[in-house]
Amino acid sequence: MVSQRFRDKHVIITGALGDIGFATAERFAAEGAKLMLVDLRSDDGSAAERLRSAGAPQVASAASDIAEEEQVAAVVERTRAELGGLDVIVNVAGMMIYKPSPS
Amino acid sequence: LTGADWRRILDVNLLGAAFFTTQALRHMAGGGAIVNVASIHARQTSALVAPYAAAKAALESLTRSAAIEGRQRHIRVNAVLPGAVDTPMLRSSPVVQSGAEKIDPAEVGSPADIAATIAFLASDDARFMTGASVLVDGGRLAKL
Repeated sequence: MVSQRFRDKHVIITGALGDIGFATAERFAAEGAKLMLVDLRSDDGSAAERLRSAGAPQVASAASDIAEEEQVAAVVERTRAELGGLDVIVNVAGMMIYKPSPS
Repeated sequence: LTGADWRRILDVNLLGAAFFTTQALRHMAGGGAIVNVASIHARQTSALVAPYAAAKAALESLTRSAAIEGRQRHIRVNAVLPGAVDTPMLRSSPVVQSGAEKIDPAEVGSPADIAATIAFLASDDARFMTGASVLVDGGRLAKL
C-alpha cells in the first residue's frame, strides 16, 4: 500500500503532459491527491482517465500558457472552484532550445 | 539567439513559476507547498543553452525569495534540480546526438525518480524544509 500523503490535498501540476510532469501526476494520484493538470496541449481525456485509475479521486485539466499571467490566475481560480481548494503547486513546465549565442 | 528566443525561454521557465507563486501567496490561506523543477544547469552548464541555464538559475533564486515571503503564510517553497532524465527531450538533444555531451548511463534517471523527490518536498515529511534546492542527478555534479 502506497502512503497517502496527499489525501484531501488539491494539487496543480504544470507541464503535466510531459514526461516528468506526468510521472509526478501519477505519484500524487497514487497518494490520493485531487489534481489540476496544466499544459499548453489539451488532454484528450486519456491522461485524466489514467490518473483516476491510479487513485486520484478527482482530475481536472486546463490547456493554458503559463507565461500569461491572466491564464495563471484563471487556472488557480478554477482549481479552487472545481477541486475545492489549493494546497500544492508543482512547477514542472519548461522548455529548452539549442542555439549558439551569435546565430 | 534572438531576443524572442530569450524572452520565450525566460517566460516559460521563470515567469510561469513566478506567476503561480504570486497566486499561491494570495490564495493559499491555509498554508501549502510549492515545488519548482529547476535543473543542474542552474549550477553547471554546457554550450548552446544559455537562456535555459540562466532561467533555471533564476528559478533557483526565486525559490529562495518565495520561501522567505511564504514563511509567515506557512507556505514552503523548494526546488528540485534534475540531472539527465531518460526522456525523448534528452535522446533527441543535438549535443547528446553529436557526442559533444557524454552522459554516463549510471547518471541517467527516470521521470519517476524526479517525481519521488517532488512528492517528498511537497509532503509534510519535508515540513522543516523551505528555500532548499535538492540535486537529483545520480551524483553527476559531485565529481570533478
